[in-house]
Amino acid sequence: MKVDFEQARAALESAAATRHRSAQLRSYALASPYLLLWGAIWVLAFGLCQWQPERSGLIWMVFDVIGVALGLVIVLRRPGRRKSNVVGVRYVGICASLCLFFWAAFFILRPVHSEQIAAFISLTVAMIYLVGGLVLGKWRIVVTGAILAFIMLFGYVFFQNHFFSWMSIVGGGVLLGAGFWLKRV
Amino acid sequence: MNKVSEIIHQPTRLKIMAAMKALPGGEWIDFVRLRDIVSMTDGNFGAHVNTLADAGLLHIDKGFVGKRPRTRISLTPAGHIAFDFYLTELQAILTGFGNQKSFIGPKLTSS
Repeated sequence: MKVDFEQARAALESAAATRHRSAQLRSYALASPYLLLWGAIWVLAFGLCQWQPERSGLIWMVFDVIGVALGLVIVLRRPGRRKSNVVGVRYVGICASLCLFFWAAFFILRPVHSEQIAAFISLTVAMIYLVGGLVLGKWRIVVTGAILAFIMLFGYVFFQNHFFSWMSIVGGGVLLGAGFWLKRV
Repeated sequence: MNKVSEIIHQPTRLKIMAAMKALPGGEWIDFVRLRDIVSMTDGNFGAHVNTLADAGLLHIDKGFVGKRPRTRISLTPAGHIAFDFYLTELQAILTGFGNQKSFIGPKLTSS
């Protein structure tokens, strides 16, 4: 078979485009379970906080431990067993770093009330998605982060008395929706 | 172009191999997911996957998840080498070295 210059160029372009698409969609598929997990946690935890606001700190402490533990299970069940152990250590390290960051931030910014804490943490999560998506070139993650930041700010400004309910339904809903969106090709 | 590269060179099979090459070493992917990545219909897609498997470039694993049948595909080590060589052949054509008769590629069997 003879392949001319144009055919070779077109074939290389097709291969490169398909490899990029395949790698991109694989990344999304790997990220999807985490969004679904934390979407469910936001729905439950924020919902409970609206019902028992004085216990919001304890509620989130419990759900954070559950979320990190289940997230670790997801990491360890990823394809590629040997590599998943390394990713597992990194995952725990990231969660621990975020906890220390939030503790330090609230210590510096005190006194803060529970809605402020919830808003700050939600905004930080949204920024991680947005900036992380930009750095990695994953536009679906960028969109998720941007929408999350917008709805958090909107709810904080216009629905502060019902902020926990807003974050439970809308915030949790955005994360769940993004999780399903990332699963789709 | 050698015989294996000719098998890969078909547009759909090229996309299948490129999509598989993007996965880390030997990782399996669902038949349906791979089909959607390549944007193909079932009938044609299955035939192309079988052609690549018969050439020793892909593994096909047919099993069940509960009662639902599930087919998974992975790239064989030979498939990795063959695809890399195919890309090298294409690059050689672009740089003007690809028309030499002495250009010899790997021979692969369907076992």
